Amino acid sequence: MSAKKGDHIRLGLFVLAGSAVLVVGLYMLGSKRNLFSNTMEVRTTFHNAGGLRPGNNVRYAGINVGTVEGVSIQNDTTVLVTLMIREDETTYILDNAIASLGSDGLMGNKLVNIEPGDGHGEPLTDGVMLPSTIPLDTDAMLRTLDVTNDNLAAITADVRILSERLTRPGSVIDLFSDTALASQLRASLGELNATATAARSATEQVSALVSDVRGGKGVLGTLIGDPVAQGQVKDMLARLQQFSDSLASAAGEVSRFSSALNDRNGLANVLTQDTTVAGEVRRSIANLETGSETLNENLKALQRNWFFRKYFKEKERKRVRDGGAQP
Amino acid sequence: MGWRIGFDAFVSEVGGIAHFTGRYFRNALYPRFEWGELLRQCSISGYRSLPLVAITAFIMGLVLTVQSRPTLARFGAESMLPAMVAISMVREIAPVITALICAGKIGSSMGAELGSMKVTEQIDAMEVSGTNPFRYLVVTRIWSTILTLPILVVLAMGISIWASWVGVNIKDAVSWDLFYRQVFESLEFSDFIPAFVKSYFFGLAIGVVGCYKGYHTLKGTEGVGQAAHSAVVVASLLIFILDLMAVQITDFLGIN
Repeated sequence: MSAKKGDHIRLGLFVLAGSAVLVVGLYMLGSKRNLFSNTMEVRTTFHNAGGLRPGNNVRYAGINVGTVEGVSIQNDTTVLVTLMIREDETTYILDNAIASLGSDGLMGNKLVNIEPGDGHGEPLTDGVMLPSTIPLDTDAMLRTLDVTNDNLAAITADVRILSERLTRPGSVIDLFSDTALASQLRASLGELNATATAARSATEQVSALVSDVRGGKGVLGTLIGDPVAQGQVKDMLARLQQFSDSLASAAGEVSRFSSALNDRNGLANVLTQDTTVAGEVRRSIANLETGSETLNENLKALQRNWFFRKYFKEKERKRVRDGGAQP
Repeated sequence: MGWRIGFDAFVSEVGGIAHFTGRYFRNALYPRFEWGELLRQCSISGYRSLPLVAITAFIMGLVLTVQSRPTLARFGAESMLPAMVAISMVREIAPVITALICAGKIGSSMGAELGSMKVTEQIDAMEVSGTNPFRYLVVTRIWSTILTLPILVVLAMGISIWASWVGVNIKDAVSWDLFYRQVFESLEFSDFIPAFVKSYFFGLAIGVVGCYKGYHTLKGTEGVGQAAHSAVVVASLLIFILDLMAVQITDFLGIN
C-alpha cells in the first residue's frame, strides 16, 4: 500500500512539474501578446504596411510597449494598423506621437516605432488615431545605391588608369625616387630657410622701426606724432604749393616769351634766323668797335687837354686817398 | 505474389488498428473507469520515462546549440542561437524525439506485457472472471500515454532550452535571464500550440499500437518478442506520419 502511495506521490510531482513548465511557458508567451495586462487600442494608418503582421512589437523610445493587433486595408491607398498598448506604458505617450514602420535589426521582424511629436499633446485615449510618417523605402535606397555603385565603378576605373600612368617610367612618381633631386630640393629648402630667417629679421626690424615711429622717435616719428611739426610741414607744403604756382606762372611767362622770340616777324627770330641781318649786325658791331677805339683815343686826347686836365688829376688823388686801388 | 500478400497484410494491419482505435474510444469515454490502474499506468508511462526523456532532451538541446553555433558565428548571428534552438526544439525536436523515446520504451513494454498476458491466457481468464480486460488493460494504458506524453514533451522542451543555455555558456557567457527572454521573444503561440496538440496524438498512436500488438499476439513466446518489436516500429512510423499530417494541417490553417 505504501509503495502504491509513493507511486501516486511521484506521479503527482511529475504532473505538477510538467504543469508548472506549461503554465510558465504559456504565461511568458501570453504576456508577450499582452494577454495578462490591461491594454489600450490605438490606431494609425500607413500607405504601405511593409510586411507588418499581428503580433509584431510596438516600441516607444526603443522599449516594447505593446503589439500589433491587426492590419487591414482601409482603402486603395491606406492600411489601417491597430495597436494594443499596455496601459501602464501610456503615461508618457501623447496623442501627437508619430508612428512609423521599422524593423528589428537588419533582418529582424517588422515593428511599429512611436516617437514623441512636436508641440502640445493630450494623453492617449482608447481608439485614438496617431499620425504616421512614410517609412524608409529600402527599395529606393537600393536603387540609389545601384547608381552610386555605377559611379563608384567609373571612378575606380579612372583611378586605376591614373595610377598606371603615374607608375610609368618618366612620370611624376620618378621625382620621388630621384635622390639627386632630393638633395637639390633639400639644399633649396635650406636656402629657403635662410631666406625666411632673413625675412623674419627684416620684418622684425621693420616692426621695430614702425614701433619707433609710433613712439615718436626720429624725424618720421616726430612728423607723425608731433602736432607742431605737422603744422610746420603743412605750412611748408602750402608755401611749396605757392612756389609751385609762381613757378608755373613764370613758366607761362617764359613760354610766352619764347613764343615771342620764335615769332617769325620778331626781332629775336630775325636776329637768329636771318643771315643777312646777322651779317649787318656783325658789321655794325665791327663798326662799333672801331668807333669805340676812336672814341677812346679822343678821350685820351681830351685828358691831356688843359681844359679837363685839372678834373682828372683831382679824381686820381681822391681814389688814392680812399684805398689806393688802381683804376 | 509476395508483394500482394504483404499488401494484404499491411491493409489488414491498418484496418485492425483502426478497428482497435474505434473500440478504444467506445470504451474510453464511458464508465466504468479503472482509476487505480490508470494512475499506475500513468506513473509507469510518465514518471518512469522521465529520466530517459530528460537525458535525451538535455543532450539534444546541448548538441543542437554546439553544432549550430559555428554556422551562426560565421554570419555574426550568435545572438540568434537561443531563438533558433528554442524554435527548433519547441516546434519539432522535443515532441518527435520524446514520442520516439516513449514509443521505444512504453510501446515495447505494452506490446510485451499484453502479449505475454495474451499467450499465457491471462486475458481470457479475466474475461471468465467477469472483468472487462479491454477496459482494464487497454483503455488505461492508452489513456496513460495520451495524458503523460504531452507532459513529457513540455518538460523536454524546458530541459532542452536549459541545455541550450548550458551549451551557449560553454563558449560564451550569457545570463539565464537574458537567454530565456531571447527565447520567449522569438516564440509564439503558433510555435507551441501545434506541438502540444500533436503530442496528444503521438501518445494515442503509441498507446494504440502498443496495446494492439500485445492484445493480438499469436505464436506463443516468439510472438511476444515480435509484438514488442513491431509495436516500436509501427508506432515510430506512425509518429512521423502524424507529424507530417500535423505540419500540413497547421500550414493549411495558416498558423505555421
